[in-house]
Amino acid sequence: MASSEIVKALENVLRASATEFFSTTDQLSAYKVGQSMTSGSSETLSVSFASVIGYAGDEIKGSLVTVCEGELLNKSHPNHAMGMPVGEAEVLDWVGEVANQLLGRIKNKLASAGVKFAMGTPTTVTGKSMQITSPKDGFVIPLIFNGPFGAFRLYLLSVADPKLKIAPGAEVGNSGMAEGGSILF
Amino acid sequence: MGKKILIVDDSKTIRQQVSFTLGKGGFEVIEAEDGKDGLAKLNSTPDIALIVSDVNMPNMNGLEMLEAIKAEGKHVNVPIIMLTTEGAPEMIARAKGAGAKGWLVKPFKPEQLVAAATKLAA
Repeated sequence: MASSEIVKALENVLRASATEFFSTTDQLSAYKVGQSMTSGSSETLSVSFASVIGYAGDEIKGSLVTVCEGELLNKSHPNHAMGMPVGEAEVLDWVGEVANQLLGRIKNKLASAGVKFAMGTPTTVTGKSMQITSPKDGFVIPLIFNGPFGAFRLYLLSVADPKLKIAPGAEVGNSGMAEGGSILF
Repeated sequence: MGKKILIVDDSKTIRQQVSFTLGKGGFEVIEAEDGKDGLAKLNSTPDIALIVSDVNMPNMNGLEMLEAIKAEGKHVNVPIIMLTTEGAPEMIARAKGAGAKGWLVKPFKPEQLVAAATKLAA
């Protein structure tokens, strides 16, 4: 089991990454404050759309689970800005891309604090209920962001080396090129 | 018809965004959903002027596709821009070493993408 310092640092990174993502995504700027949710080892949710994306490094591994209402995903879908339709297939794809962009931000922030890992690709699901279970010998950090289109829930499931060190300030750090950046060689 | 650009990304949402953006910029866009599909489309579509590729994809990721294109040699002169959530210096260096001509971090700015495509597809 990881120390409370590791859990707190990861929670700060998760909250900051989500807040940054919301600020750059149409219709989601109202989703600003991530509240900690009470979570035991297992939680059953009423779910519309969800995505799971894995990550693994030498000192930490796990997955990021994103759970959203369909309306939230529909309203924030980039197709609206292009005058293109948004159906269930587009919404399901979008929840995967949201998770991808969130984990990318988390990865960049943690890398600035000396913690590196590789990302997988997202798996998306839709259904009526979902059970979040803390990994064996690990922990889950649940955050909920409330806004006009329903709740946006994030669960960072992790198994961390107890000796893992996350340098202070990871939540404001960014290793390498920042989101929206570009370079030509 | 404008110059042909191959967009490789496992997200349909991103493919549509890129296609829309580059289409408005006067380009013709061909889509592929992973690195393997990208290689197939590259080999079956004549006159591709630029490839825009994600990094993290199933089956074959963008860096593996880039290295496969370099190893195969036939399309080594087609410029490639990586468009990804990744910003790690070591990944950017790996892509540059394999011949990539640019790196953009999502969410991309449309004007940046069109400017890069216009310059590299010339």
